[in-house]
Amino acid sequence: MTQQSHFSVDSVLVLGGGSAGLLAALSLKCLIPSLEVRLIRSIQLGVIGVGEGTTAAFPEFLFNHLGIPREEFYREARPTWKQGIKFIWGPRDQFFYDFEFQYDHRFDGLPKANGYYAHDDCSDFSQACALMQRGKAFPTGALGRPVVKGSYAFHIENHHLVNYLESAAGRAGVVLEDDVFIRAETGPAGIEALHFEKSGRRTADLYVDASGFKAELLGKALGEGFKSFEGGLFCDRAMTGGWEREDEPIQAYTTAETMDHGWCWQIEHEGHINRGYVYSSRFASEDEVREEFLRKNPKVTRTRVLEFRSGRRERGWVGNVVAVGNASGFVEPLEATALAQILFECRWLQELIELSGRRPGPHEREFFNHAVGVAWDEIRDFLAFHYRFNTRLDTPFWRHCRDHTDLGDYQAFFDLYQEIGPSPMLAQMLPNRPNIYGIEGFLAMLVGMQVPHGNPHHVTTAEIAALQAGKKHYARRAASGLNVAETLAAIRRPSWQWS
Amino acid sequence: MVMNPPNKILVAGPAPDAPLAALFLKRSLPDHSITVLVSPGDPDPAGEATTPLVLQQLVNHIGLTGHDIHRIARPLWSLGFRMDWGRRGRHVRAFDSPVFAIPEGLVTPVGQLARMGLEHASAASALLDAGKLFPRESRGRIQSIENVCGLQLDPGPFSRLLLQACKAVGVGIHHGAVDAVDVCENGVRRIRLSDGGGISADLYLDACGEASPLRSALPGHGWDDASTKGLCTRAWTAVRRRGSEAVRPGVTIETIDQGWRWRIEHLDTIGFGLAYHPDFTDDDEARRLLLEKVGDPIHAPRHHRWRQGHHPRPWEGNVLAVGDAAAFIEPLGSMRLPLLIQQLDSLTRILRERDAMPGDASKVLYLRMTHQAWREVLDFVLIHYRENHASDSPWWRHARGNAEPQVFRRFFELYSSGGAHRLLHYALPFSPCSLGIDSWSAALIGLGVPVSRPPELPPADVIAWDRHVRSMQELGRRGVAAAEVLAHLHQPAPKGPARESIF
Repeated sequence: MTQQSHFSVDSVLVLGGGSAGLLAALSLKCLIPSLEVRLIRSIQLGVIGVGEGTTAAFPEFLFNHLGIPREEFYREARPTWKQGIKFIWGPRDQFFYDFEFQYDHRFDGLPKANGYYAHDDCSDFSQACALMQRGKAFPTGALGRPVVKGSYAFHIENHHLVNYLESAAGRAGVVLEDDVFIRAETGPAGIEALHFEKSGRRTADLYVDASGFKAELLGKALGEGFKSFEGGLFCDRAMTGGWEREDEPIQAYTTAETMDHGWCWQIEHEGHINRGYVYSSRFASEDEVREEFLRKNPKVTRTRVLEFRSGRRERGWVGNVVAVGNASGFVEPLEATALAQILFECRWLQELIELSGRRPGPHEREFFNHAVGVAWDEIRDFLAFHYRFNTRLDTPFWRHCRDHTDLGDYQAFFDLYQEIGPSPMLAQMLPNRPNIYGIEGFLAMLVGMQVPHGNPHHVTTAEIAALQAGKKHYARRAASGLNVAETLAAIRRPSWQWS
Repeated sequence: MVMNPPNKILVAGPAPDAPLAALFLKRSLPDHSITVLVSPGDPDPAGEATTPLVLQQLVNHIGLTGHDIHRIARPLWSLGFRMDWGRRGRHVRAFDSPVFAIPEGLVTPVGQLARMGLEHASAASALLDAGKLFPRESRGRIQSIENVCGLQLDPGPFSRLLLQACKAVGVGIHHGAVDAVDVCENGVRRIRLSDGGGISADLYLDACGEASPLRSALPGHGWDDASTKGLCTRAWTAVRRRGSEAVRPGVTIETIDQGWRWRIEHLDTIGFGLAYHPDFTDDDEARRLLLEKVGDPIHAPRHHRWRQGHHPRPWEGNVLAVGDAAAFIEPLGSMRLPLLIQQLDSLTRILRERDAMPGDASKVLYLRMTHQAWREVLDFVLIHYRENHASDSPWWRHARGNAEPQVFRRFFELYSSGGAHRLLHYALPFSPCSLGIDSWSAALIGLGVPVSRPPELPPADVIAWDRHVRSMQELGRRGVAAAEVLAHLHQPAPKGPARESIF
């Protein structure tokens, strides 16, 4: 494929009406209003349509970067909050991962970072962690109202999210159309035109491929290669199911539970509980997986199996085509990175168009491909840590993971962990830039799974006192916090005002 | 192989590097026994300049007071660089360049508003441009902005300050030269001194420069000068008396057809240097060109052969090469002492994390941290060479053609596209960086690196920025010259709580 030098971007055509396409269209139109942005939903592309968990990058992007009003989003998308992930994973009964700093942090009076004090008890090392442990969502502020601030994320039902994004995109000036995609016409610049059943031949300056796994433009039409992650991630199927919520409390976290042949998620929507079992077809048949899934989740009535392939396109931007979402790459939702990755792709695309005066060229493409590739590989390696060090079960699948998971670019990072333990110095060993997830996630998993290292710290009496003081501060605030249901009720009162 | 925990650390080398290293270590590792072996040296009175990191570390980390620093080391301040260099002919680059700050009430960052030059973007740049040092407050008082100042150092008094401070904080001091090194399985067992004595430690820091007697005694000794082909390899330096000449508020750098010249301010003298390459200019001609500038030197000019590059394995066994023994870059960015401090900071952070002798993974980490710092500084100098169109002599054509940035290439390319855009944060190859995104962007703006598609600026921001520039010009015009600041230094300190001297 010829890489034309620079080209003007006045019009953008987005193929695909899922959350990736909508977020791309919305962010381009919101932040570069003079762009003509059209999005075509094509029925035959389909959507996965399972519930979504986000990371803390999502509200930050929506509210602070795009400037979307909070009241509008809460009213239309109907999210619940997520302070992190409860892992039923490794030798502990459970541990929590959050979006704050539990271990890349040091309580006042401690000579070492918090991770050195968390081997036996890893509770209450952050506000979010203390809240999740107590079934709470947010601390309480003045007048007993929830303080909906900090690094929180969302659980959102996919159809609510898509409906909201469609409305928001329409309001922003994105033209939304329904048609059936037939084929792409290629040329020296990349894509020359797209052909649709109703509207015929359509052209634009830039094409956003949000066609999901099919990657109609970048993959099929332009033939961009696919880099498989099978060396570190062995799962290739997800069995989904769920049930209408009964008397279960709405938790402010996603649950990730170790299963015999993989792991299971639980996403908490207001009226629905979404479960999914990610597994490897090399180690269990669909029937075996269904049996375990239903046995452990008796309220699930109907299951659906999705096949997937973990990996990414070698390049996300080729010629005049940029892929976002599953057309760009896919990994299982263990850390809810799908939407975060879409946001980074959208943000970098928009900023590169802006930086280039709407005439992107080779430098912009090269930066995008480097940054997006590094971000995908970082997620791959982060997930690999989850598999390599999970000692909870001794099934063939988990033995294989422990023996064969490749840590990718993070092997030297792990070597250093083994020598110095959960030190903030590990940040200096992050292998690539830009690094969008930092070291906190790695520390949370290594400490959470009690992965051994050679630098244990001998805690003094004075340090115990400082440690308890730090934890007590969080615990006390969390104990008086509000749960998800109480927080939803609070923000729906007429008197509620977002600040 | 079992190695002792590094409780006893010896730093060997001449002043100021070795005592600076020992002092830094002692403050970082107060329970360790730190000894400095000060080898005979003949520091160049032409002196050297630093970035603000050095003064910040002397005060905040080592605990020296400003009063003691000025009383003993007698440094002068440096707000940055005044350079005849780049594509715009002349520019100033101050250390307080807030390229990505967005002025209150505006929507455009400083780096875009000031894309034709940062001369009046900040207080320090306006002062530097006007030849002044500190702002004058409305009631005529001097407002110190020492927090954004580098130093211009005369190595003699600076070394005296460091040695006195070593003594005050409990660093053991030996004077002597390394005669031989006894090697064992773990590295160096003992240093034999030229006076017949000996000295041993658990960990040795070789700050002896190119000779590197400790590190060179162990396997894997070498030097990597890749990517330095377009840089100068030799220099002459000289010093003249200041006479009645005014003290400049920063380092002066000037392009000449044969290379470049610098000027460093001292209280009673002025240091000069000229960098060149012998393939293009012979030594005598370079000496003549320096003297043409210096006029009447106090001593005969000194000749320097530069070995630009870095040690590929500075840490072997129980020996670390630091300072010039680990990396050397010409003084264009005032980064020699900051690089040493960054090496020491990396080392002490590693040592603090573990009671035992650091293992292989920690050494890999140290190597990574120090190599990244070196690569960044090298690229910084290379960009200056590549973008210097102040001369089209054969030397500069050669230099520009052999000065391709490596690790900062992507950063540079994006800057060339749209200027100082916030996206550049993601294009930094390391985090944290030695110089940082503001210094990099300020340098590219100062050098006049062409931006192919600069963004349109909102008219209201342009008008507001013009007002800001005029106010900075006025601040510069009203500023206080170095002579007045120096006179003020000798007045009694105002009453009030003062920081306690370590002496």
